[in-house]
Amino acid sequence: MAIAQTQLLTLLQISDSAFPTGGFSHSLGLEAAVKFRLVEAGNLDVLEQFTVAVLENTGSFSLPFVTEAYESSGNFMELKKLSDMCDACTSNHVAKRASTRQGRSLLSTSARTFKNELLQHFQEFSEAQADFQIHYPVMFGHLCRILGVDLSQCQTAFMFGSLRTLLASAVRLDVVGALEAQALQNKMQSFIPDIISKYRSRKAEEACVSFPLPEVLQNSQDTLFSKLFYS
Amino acid sequence: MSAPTDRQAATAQGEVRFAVSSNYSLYSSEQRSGVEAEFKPCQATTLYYTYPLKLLLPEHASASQCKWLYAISYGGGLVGGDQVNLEVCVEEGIAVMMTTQSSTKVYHCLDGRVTRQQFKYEVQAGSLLFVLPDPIVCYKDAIYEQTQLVTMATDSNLVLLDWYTSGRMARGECWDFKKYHSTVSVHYSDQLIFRDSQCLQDTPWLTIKQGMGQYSVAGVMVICGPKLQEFNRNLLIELGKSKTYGARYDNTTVFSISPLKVARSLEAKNGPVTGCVIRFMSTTTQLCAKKLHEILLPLFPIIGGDPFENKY
Repeated sequence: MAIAQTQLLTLLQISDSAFPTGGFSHSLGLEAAVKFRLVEAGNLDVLEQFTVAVLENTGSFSLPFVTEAYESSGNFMELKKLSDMCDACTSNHVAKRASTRQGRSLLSTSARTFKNELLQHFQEFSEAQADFQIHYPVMFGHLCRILGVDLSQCQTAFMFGSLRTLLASAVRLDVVGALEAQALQNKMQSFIPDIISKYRSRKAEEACVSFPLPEVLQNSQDTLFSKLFYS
Repeated sequence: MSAPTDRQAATAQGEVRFAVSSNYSLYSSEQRSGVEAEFKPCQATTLYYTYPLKLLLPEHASASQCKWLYAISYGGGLVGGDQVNLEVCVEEGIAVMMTTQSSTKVYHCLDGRVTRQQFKYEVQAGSLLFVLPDPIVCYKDAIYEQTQLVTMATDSNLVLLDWYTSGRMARGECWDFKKYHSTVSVHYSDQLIFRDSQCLQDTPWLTIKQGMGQYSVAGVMVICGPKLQEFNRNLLIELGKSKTYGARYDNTTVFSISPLKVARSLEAKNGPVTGCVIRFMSTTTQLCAKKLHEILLPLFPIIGGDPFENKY
């Protein structure tokens, strides 16, 4: 099989909703936004603005960790340091929980799926470290490198994951219909290349939040009376 | 207030060092009585600043042992190209509060020159540093960058507030600045335990104004240290509690809280050190200040007053 085909198939597999990393337990702050009546069913413009804000944050905050993990994939200690830094930068406990849960699931799922020696080693390494939590963006970058996905595809797939998770939660929260959500996703996808090009060479040291609103809302997830999502 | 925009941009340096008052051991009644107060009286042992930065140390501002430090700028604002570098060191066993006299106004940078402030704080063992400034107000077309780096020794304490508004609201400005970038990093025992970095600017698909929705104030407050454990615990209960059935979700002022955990590897050495991080946004400065007042109230006896009294 041609390399390009193998890469594409691998990417499709790890980006598929059937790949059990728990992405669908998260709404990236949307559920809180709905509860606070800041995003409402039927108001597509507001949902669109919220979605762009989340995508910009994914690009300016998470993507640098994906990129740097991809680049230091061979060095487990570097990856640990990077994940620890991600932990210090993710003080929002709801986001932290979402990121570490998905990071852990991504590692265990892919270790069992891909039968890759490096992944087994990394799993052993991370279990041997006291108090080590692998954050999702770090694990994602690391995994893509191990699986031979090129960096730009890895960054694109990561952005896609955020968008898909957010819009899937919007459908389940009944903010938007399934078809409208797909049309919105398609529109949002056209922004992704520009967002990536803005942040593609940013270092984790410079990771920052661009739009604080989704962050503050997500942070209040645990105070909601009833909720569908973890974050 | 007249705009200081005709003023030339300048680079300012400042340094303040606080230590236990030199006459403390001679005259202290507590030494004689053998009862140790939480914080010892202190004084500035180094005080240095250059134009346009000005540092004020009022004698009678505080009703406690906590020393108040006002960092202000000549002309009531910062212009494009201004650079302010300030280092504050709080030596062992004392309390210091740094604040401002009013909001920090950042004027336009039409020539693209960035206005920058860099603060470095060092907090030594047993000490408590409060950083409770008024909000940063970036005017239309301002470009503002701020970094705050806190180095905390083991067993030191910190309350740091960093907040900003949408601009000169009375003149109809609403998130009209070009860029606001603020980073707060906290190191405890040489380990990065907290970093919050926010960089607000328009993007091709979303302006800051759209992204901020109905809100015109936002910010973050970080609280950490063994002396603040009870305060911190109460805050986590109060702000973190779940809404009750049927409760209204007030979206005018949203304050969310997260526990701040120091890595367990450090805990083994130093015992548990806890803190919290509060993220907030509000539709008006008044509502926001009111909520901050509520939150900070239990600390006023230590601070020796309310730094925001009669301001909002």
